[in-house]
Amino acid sequence: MTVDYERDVRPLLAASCLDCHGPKKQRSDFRVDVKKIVFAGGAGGLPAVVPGKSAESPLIHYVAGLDAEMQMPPAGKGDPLTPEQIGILRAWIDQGAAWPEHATTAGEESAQWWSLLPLAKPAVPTLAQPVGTPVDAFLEAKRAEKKLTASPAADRRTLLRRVAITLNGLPPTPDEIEAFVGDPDPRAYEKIVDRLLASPRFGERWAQFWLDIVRWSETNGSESNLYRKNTWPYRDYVIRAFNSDLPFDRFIREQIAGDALGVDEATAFLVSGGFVHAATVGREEPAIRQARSDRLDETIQSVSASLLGMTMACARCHNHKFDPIPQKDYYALAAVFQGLEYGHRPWRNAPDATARAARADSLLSQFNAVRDELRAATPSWTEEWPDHLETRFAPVRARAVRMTFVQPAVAVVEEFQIFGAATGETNLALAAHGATARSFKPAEALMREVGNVIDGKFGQTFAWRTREASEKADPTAPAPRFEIELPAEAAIDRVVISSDREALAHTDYLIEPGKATASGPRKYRVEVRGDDGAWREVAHVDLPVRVVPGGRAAAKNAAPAAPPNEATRALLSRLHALLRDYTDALPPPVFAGYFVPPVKTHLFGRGDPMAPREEVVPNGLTALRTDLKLTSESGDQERRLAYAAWLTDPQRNPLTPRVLANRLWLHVFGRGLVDTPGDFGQAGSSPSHPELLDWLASEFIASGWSAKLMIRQLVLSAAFCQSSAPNAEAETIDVDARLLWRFPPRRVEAEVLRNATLAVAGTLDLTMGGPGFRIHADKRRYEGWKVVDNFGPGTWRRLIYQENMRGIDDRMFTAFDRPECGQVTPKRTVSTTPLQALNLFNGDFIVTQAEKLAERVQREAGPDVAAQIKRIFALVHGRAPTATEAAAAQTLVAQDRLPALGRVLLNTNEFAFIE
Amino acid sequence: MKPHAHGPALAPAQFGPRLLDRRDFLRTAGGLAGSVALLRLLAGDNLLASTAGSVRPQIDSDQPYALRAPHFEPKAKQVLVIFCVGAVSHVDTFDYKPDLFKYDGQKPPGIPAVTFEGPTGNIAKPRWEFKPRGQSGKMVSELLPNVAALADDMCFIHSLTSSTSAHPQGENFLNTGFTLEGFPSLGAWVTYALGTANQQLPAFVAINDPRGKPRSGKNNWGSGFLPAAYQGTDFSAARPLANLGRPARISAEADRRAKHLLEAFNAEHARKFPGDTDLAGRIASYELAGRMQMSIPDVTDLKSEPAHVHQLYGTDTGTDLKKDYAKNCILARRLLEQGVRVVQLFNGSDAQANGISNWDSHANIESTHAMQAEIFDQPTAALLADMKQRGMLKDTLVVRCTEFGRMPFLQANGTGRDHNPDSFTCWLMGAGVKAGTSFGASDNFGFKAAQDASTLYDFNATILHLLGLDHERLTYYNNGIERRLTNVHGHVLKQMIA
Repeated sequence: MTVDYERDVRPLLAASCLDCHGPKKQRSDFRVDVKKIVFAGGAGGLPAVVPGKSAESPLIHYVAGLDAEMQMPPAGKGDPLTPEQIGILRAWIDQGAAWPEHATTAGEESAQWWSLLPLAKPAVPTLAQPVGTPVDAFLEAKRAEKKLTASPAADRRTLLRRVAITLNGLPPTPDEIEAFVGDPDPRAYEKIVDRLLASPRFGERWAQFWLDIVRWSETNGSESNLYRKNTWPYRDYVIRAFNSDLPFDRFIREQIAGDALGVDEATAFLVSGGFVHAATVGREEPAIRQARSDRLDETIQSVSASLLGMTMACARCHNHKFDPIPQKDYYALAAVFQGLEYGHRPWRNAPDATARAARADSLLSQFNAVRDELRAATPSWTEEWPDHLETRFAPVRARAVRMTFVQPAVAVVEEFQIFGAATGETNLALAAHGATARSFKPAEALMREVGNVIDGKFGQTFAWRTREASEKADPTAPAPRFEIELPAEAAIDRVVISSDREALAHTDYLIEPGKATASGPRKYRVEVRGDDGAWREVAHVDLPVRVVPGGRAAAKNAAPAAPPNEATRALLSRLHALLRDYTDALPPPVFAGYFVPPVKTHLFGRGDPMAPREEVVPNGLTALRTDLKLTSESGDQERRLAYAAWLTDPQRNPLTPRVLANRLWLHVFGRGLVDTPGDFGQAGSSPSHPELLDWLASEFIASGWSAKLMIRQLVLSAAFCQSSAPNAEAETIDVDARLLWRFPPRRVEAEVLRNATLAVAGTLDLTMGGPGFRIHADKRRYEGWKVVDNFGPGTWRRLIYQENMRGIDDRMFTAFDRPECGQVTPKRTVSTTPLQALNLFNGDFIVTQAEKLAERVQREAGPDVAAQIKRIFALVHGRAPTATEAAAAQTLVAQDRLPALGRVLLNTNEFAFIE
Repeated sequence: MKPHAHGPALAPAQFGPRLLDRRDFLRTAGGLAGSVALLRLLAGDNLLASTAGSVRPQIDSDQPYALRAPHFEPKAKQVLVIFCVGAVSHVDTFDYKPDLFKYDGQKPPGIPAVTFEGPTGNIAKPRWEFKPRGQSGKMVSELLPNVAALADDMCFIHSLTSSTSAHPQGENFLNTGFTLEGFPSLGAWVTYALGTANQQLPAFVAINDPRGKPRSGKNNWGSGFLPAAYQGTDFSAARPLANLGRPARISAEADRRAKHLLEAFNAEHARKFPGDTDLAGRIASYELAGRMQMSIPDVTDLKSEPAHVHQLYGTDTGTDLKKDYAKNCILARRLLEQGVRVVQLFNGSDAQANGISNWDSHANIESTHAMQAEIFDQPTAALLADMKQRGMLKDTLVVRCTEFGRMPFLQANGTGRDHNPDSFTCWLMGAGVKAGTSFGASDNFGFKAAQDASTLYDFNATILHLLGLDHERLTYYNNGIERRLTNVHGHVLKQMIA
């Protein structure tokens, strides 16, 4: 008998399974009514049915109760299947599990989902009565369907404030308002728009939206939440990209593969998320693998939320429940970034890179010359590089090297390297190259095990210590020491000792920046044994104790080495001067990730890194039939370049231009055409104006991916320029004005509220770029960041330049839905809370600015109170006060003086909303 | 507990409608109040793919804290979460394991070579004597004699597991259901779902340890991707809420006059946008802030508490840390009395004071736990006994938790115990809890959960259940996923419920 799906199988599954695995519920993310899920797998990612092999089909195992814990239906959820029913299922599977295509359900139609369809430019609707721009024609067509009409044009004062905040994030000055109100030129508004688009303030406004999405922050997050030295170049890069109208496809490619395109800082995009420091991960293998998988996940979140509009998070553990994203797609994207690691790399294109390079070259040759002189003058010497010590000696044959630390203080060695002239930059002391290490200490915890010094890894988590801080110094105990045995005798001429490279080179603001160095190795002997078996001393190092403010000084009771003679001392001092200048001239490190040879990528069962399954090659989305022609052997950069090319090729990937056009719309009108800017899948919202979205996306590409031209087009539309006045009748049809029958008024963001306050008070510092301004105190490694000054004169730059510590409340504007950078933020929430009111009415920031505002008004309006009131209204609200307002204001000023009025006005709704 | 409808009477505004009753104001100003169209939903993007069965609270954006109905009849209306930061050793406190005495100093098979911080040492017996307590005879150690005396009121769970053995991730996992940062905390989920009874105090208060914040800081009481309205407000007996008081340079009279003028200006402005709930919401937030300026100093003023209460909690005996924690305990009770929906009370922090920061005891289990217990025991027991005596446990659920447990063996060559995510003990008390019982069990050593192994998802699902919330239906759409406190896991532990 041939089993028929429709006749025999579907009713059976429907009766026994559908309640929990159907449209209503998807236990374990599994559904029996969706072909794809049955054959490809649900939460487990494993197929439930293997056609032709009923014995290997989990579905049969479950219904037959082979595994008591997985008995289906479970006890209490329905009767077990009869042997006859199981027989039907087995026969169906063994006959090939035919499932006719027409028997699919809605869940499977997603391959035809609107956002995945090829991008075609729709015709602009022709209307009986032509309106404004093409954008207006699309809008009008929709409005007409609902019998809505557009509102009349907004008055010029309102419009100017609206467009100035939208484009530059700052309100217009009274002079600008009066000029615009009185400008008879029919192109008056266009001129304003072009001026605002050309202003450097444009990039400072629009960069923030991009930084939000990828939750860009200047710390790593998690417990120690260390500062990422030099990640601000990425913030400046984004501002510059918007200001120079860098074509957006180029902008994307640079952020994915800037290392190949001459923009090192751009790849900070890939590592904008937080990660857990190795010290907090612990020693257990599952935790270490999980942490790596979490880092890649952060990168995948950034890419998918900002550029793909497809949420990949679900597919980490199982096939996507709503969208055509199999679990494999998540790991294909992980494979694209398999060569990425979180950390710093040299910023080769730093602003003065060419001059620096020339300077570095010249300094290096001078440095080498002095080194040669030293070599002639002394048998050994030690160079103090910013993040390590290098002890040099005359070339010697060595089978083993012994380090003896003659100071009793705690000294840390996180990595110990041995080099020879003939072997160049090859570290002979690596365990991976066959070296072994042993130390002479009674006990060593695994974290402090001596093998850590030759494991090729920097970081104090896995270091060796002469003794633990908790141990008492014992002057009679033998000096702590370790020996490195090389696999074969080799000529060596230097050893390198690193104690805390991270703290010294890659972070900042630690109260004990050089704790390890201050108490690190300063006095030690280097001895060498050749194949002849005899130990000989090649260096006896006795450096002055480095005292770092706040750090602990090392003990000084060790026997001093023979002091170098006068000539050597002079040479050493010249050498170190050159060393410092040379180091300064090198490319500074930028936190933009670094790249390692990618390992093979495997799909993880249920997202568990301890359950690797089949190999997955780097690729884009299956639903778009992508083939990047990459393999597990493809190089790291090749992967990212191929992926970036795919992302920005609208022929192959229609998602990115749609997502970007929607984003630009969102920040002009306060709400996207698609209301879920990070999710264009079935769980997201559908576009209010699908044709308009595709038209805009096509225009965007045609314009050479110019964000400025697109934004210009939007703010020049009649829809943007119309009044925001309410209309009771229209509200009953479309309360949120999604169809834009009026310009929807909205609250300004934290940045606008703050920057506008500074602007009207006349205190705004327009210094652009560079390191941000600080509001936090220095901290210990394991301590939170504390806000110490969020209102003083040093903090009066735009908010985008405030140092942004992940997860830290700035005690002022975080309350205004400013993202804390834990998760990607495709769209900010808008909430209204009493904490906002307390901060804005009582905080030092507003009180200070109200005083500054009053000073400015007095300066500009003179002593007459009526004139002062007129001026303060002009500055804050861009208009004259009404008679009632003026009278009430006068009463307050008479009693409580002008700053009191400033405090009130800066708190008004009128100041906090765009109308 | 009855919420006050209005704050203290203000002098009449100089012009425009008075804003004391905003509903009324909207009616007069806009004539649109009550229109269904005005109900704007804050609950994420309400049009989105909410899966069948998920319940998005219907939230009026101008009244984010309004009382909202639970999913079903709740056992508890409020919750107090006492979080022992740093991981309390269950085998030295509430999980009695006689085999630890038997195997003391030995290394039986089955002990791994390496745990979180490094190599393992030998089994170590509890450092404190265990004694039977109360009617139930529950064995609790002498480390916490005062808390132990209340064992008959507690329901212990001995089979909890976490998915991480690192502190910050563990704090995140316990309080947000995810090891990563940026997810909403339990308190945020609860206030998002239920609002609060007292509109003059924050709905969710996080009382930090006198030493400072826990390792994951604000993530423990953050709102994640929920609207910022639902984040916990952090203040303590010693540290007042930032910007609560009027600026020092401004007199009380001048401050009041400024508020009135602000109300008047806003009212005038609102005439242009009749019925606009966003504007009205912001006006209301200033009123609420004004009321909090009265109510928070009231509730944090512990001088009004009689001397015997101070004595009971121990605000003037023992170490300074203990005194300050005791004050926080009194504050917790006062907040709950005033109807605050969620109070989170921290015992332990990231920052150190007097040589101790929290329960983490790698170097020496005996001395660290003893120092921490000195701070914790009397004040916590007093808080619980006081709440019981006042009848507050009828409506309030108390949760005593920690991010994971500690190992039954010592760390190699040391006297401390390493992290144990595979078995640890928490307990519930108060409304809806099956008092005087224990659920689940660890193995002979307290090394791994052995019977009724449960997850923190289960634990959080149970807390939500007691508050009348179905953890599978309490959702919020974020970036493609209908998110829950319990991710896609969790079963209510019915055995802990009365």
